[in-house]
Amino acid sequence: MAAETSPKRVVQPEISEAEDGRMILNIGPQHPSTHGVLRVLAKVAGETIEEAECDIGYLHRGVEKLIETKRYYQGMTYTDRTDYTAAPANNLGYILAVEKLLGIENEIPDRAHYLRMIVMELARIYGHLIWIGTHALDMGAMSMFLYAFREREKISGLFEEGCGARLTTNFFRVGGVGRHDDPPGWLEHVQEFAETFTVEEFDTLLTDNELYKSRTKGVGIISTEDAISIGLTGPSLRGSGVEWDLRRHRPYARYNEIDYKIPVFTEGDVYARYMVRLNELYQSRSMIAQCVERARDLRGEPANANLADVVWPEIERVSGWQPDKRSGDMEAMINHFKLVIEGYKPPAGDAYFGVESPKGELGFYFVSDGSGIPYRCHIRSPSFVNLSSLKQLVEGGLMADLVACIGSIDIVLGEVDR
Amino acid sequence: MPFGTGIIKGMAKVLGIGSREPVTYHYPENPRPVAERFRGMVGMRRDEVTDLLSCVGCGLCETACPNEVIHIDTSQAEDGTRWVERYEFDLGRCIYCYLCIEACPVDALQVTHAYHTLTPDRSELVISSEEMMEMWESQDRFLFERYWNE
Repeated sequence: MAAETSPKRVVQPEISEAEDGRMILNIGPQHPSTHGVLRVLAKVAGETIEEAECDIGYLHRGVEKLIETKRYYQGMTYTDRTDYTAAPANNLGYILAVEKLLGIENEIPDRAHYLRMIVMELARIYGHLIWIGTHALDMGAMSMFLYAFREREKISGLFEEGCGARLTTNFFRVGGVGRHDDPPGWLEHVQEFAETFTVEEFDTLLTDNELYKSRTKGVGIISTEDAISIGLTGPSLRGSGVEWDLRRHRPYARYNEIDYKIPVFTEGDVYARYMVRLNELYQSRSMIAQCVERARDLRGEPANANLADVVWPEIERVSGWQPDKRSGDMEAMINHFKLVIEGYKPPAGDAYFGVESPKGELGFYFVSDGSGIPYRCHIRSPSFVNLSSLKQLVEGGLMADLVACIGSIDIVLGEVDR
Repeated sequence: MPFGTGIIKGMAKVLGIGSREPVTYHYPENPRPVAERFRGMVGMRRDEVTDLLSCVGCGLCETACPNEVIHIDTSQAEDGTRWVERYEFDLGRCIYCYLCIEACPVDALQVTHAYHTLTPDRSELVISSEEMMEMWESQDRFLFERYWNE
């Protein structure tokens, strides 16, 4: 008997055959200006894009499924690898969601919150710098890329000093910041960075540049209504005139205790989104300075919650090898073994927590069945949702503007495909 | 503002930046100094008394590792003495999260600053406890120095 013919695999997206004068152009997945492995199928008439479809999934690693096979403390290592341009932002989203699931969000000490906010705002600058560099490079401004990376390198150094890694930070721990409490001099170095960080330089180079303006003004417009109905979040939404920022409207950590403005621009074009991000760099810089001051005032206070069933005990209490202290605390040792082998066990139920990552609303949703391993994990990644606006942005526009539009919504394919 | 002012302003800025000190390092001749907390390869502490590996074979690192990097075999003699038969660390799989170091209850696993893992053969990246101890003793060592010399 002949084997049944398998149904033809439909490769999405499907764009109908080209008619006269029309051409189907395949952009990506291996194309530098698609900012990763994004494939855009465009039906073009001359220089005008009539129809465009995105094809994603080239970087799918099953991060959500992987997290569902690991204990809660192990799962965080995978979040570094979703939006790799601002890893601590993912760490924070993950940690806050797990803390909500455990019901310990009120037990976290202030100092931990301020340290987290410092790192989070550094991550915002970190993420926006790579965006401003690559987007300007797409628009033909070569030197921006170099200057953005020069500044970004300083933040890499600060991450390295704070937690040991430059890119995949794995910075925080449930209940605080774990062993990544600020090392001597770190806060001073952060302060120094906040004082010397040269946003003005980027401002001078691009904001008034006529060439940049002519490439971005009035290009890729998305109206307020469309932006809301698509579900845009973050700078892309604020560029369309909606003042929506989770730090202000659904506050977490200690964001309601410091001063900052939410930049909002109403034009909805590429230039407006650029202006939002540029102004966010200014805001983040001032927020870092404020947080450093608060964290300094709280020096000497604990950076981890006093929760024996969640927070791993201090290594000095467990380990007994130091010459002056031959035996560790046996209770702490037993507790430590339990925490590592079983992990902490949140009560059965579910929890969602969204944070304002550099790209938009980054949410983690967990379902717990009462064991040490999440029953279900879902990541609401801002890049994925924001990418769905691309069709609307580019259709009817010019081919050359496609690159500007892809750049302006600031997507990271690691986060889109997860 | 007349057309071109923004461009001229930008160019003036670029010329100013050109006079700054370079911020790059010439790797590998002058590698960048790393921070105190830098997460390099995982090293193993050599026990001062026995001169052997200080691992007690509890397996916590194996459990805590999210990526199945560590493999430990332990043995037990008839009189009840236990020892670690084999301690294998697969650098090729390691993601440098340091959960193993945080989990180790006797501080056998140690932070090192070594990060040169150049090798043409992936199987060489599976290192033994002896190599991990050497790594801990000479922190800035190149793991496969012979390839660098070549």
